[in-house]
Amino acid sequence: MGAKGRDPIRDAPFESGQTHLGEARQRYMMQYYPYLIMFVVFDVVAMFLFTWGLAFIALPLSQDFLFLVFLVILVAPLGYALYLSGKTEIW
Amino acid sequence: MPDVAFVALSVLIIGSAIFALEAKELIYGAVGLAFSLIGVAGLFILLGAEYVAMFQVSVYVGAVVVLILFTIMLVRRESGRIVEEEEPGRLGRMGAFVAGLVALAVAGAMILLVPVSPEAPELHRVLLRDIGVSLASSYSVALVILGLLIGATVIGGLTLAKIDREKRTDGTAQ
Amino acid sequence: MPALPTLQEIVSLAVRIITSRTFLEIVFFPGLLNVTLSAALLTWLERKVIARVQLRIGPLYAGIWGILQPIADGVKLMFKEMIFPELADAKLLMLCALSLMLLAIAPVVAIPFGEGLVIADMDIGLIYVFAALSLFPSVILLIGWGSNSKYSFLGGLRSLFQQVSYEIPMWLSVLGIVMLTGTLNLSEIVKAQQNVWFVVPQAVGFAVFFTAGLAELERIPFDLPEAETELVMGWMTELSGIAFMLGFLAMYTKLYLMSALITALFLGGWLGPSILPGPVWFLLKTFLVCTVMIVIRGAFPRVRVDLLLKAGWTRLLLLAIANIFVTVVLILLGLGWVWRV
Repeated sequence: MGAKGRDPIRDAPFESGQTHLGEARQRYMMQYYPYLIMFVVFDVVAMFLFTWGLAFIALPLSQDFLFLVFLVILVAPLGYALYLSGKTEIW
Repeated sequence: MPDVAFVALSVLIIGSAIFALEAKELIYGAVGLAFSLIGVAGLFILLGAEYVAMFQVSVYVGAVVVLILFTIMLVRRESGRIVEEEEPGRLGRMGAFVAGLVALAVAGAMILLVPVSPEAPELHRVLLRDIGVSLASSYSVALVILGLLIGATVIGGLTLAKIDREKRTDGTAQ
Repeated sequence: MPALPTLQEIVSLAVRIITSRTFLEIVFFPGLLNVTLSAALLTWLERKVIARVQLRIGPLYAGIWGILQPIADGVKLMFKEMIFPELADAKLLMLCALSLMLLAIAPVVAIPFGEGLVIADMDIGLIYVFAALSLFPSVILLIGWGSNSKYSFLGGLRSLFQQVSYEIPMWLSVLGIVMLTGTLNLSEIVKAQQNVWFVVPQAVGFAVFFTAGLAELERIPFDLPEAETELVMGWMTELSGIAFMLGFLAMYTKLYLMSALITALFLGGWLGPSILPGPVWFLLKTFLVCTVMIVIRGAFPRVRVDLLLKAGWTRLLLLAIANIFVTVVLILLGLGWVWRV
């Protein structure tokens, strides 16, 4: 409907009125990279946890203990990831 | 009927992989990889392991591919285009041809020489509950070792990534 | 080789498929028609409720109470020219916008809208819904990057980190329900709430799931990826015309689905006194949850990004784990039988 021409002003990315400066794809939010890693880790851990949850009723308490150890071990990398994400200067 | 699904999934997996290798932009390569992994999830469903299939989707396509995309988008300095590949020389082409023949011979030997029963074996469906029970009882030590391995890998990986940045922002030569 | 089917066989097969229950379920209720109508209705409901919260009236002229406003918006968007910036990847953006809509509709097949009224009664229905939800961050990231605009890319990154940080607490908060019922099948989970709805014993889990759900939906107080005053439309900035309509509708479809999921998991699904049929109860509860989410949008300020992400990984995760311990105590006290069918 209507003529469709390519127009440099129309086709420019939107930046609230000013002409766009600089390469758009730069390194924002690099400091949160540890969160992505922790997501992959906990994604896999969730797979194990759900099987444990399904089996919980059938398990004696003593056998839940090592599962808890498994979870507690993962607190260390989580804490480290949180610590690293707070420091913007090293990323 | 399962054969149709299997063939379709194989086309998806291999086709996406080829697309991922031949794409000019790295991002398209990652998207091709994502489709390939979705095909693998389909294979898991065909094998009767739907639980694994769902986590295949959410771990590989939902997390690993995201990680790859994030790395491509933020770490590469250029706009993401692959540098033009050189055409392989005559020696390279001969080598690829020979390797292809060897692979074909090995695969053919495996298919033709190993006796295969015409009947597919019964799908032994394992209840997820039983998997949980055996994880917590028989394999609990393996689980703890797995946890330690994950923890060590993550901490090591994060430390390495961090140190790289430190060297660069220092301005000192590497 | 079997003989090729005759035309009559094909026609009779087609008729059998079209009149089959599954096909009707997929097309009408609880499938496509239900989802798209509800999503459109929700766009109207949002504008009306937010307006009342802000002491305005909202859409008024398109039909009674402005109820035809979504149709007016849809028609307008379909006729608008789709403008993509010259350095943006138009094909990728269109493909991603379409995928967003498909991903938002995909979980419907597993959610039970009534007794036996579920398109695909999967034994792993809950995990299937989570898997579909986990694909959103990558698509949104691609849209943000593919737009080649600073606003969009930043919005896409924020969305990625936000959804990724809140997905884990969301999964863990449901673990309590899994432990009590011993199944991942959503129909069974609804049936298990015949005596007491899960919102009671799993109050902590409910709070975590609701909050994480708001973050997944990018709604206030977690709408940094959109951030109207900062990023224009966030990662959707460069989408226009049909692409924008797909993305916009996908967001509201996701809202509908998340509310339906909360209803099925915590609010007893289609269970209710028999003055009203089951599906009606389900829809009532779902829209109630939607309304609460909409009111929250008008009532809360926005959370700062680093606090937001950290809160997801620390406080919400801890609460989800606390919920697991509460559930363990419940089961040890011998109260597990209340929720076993």
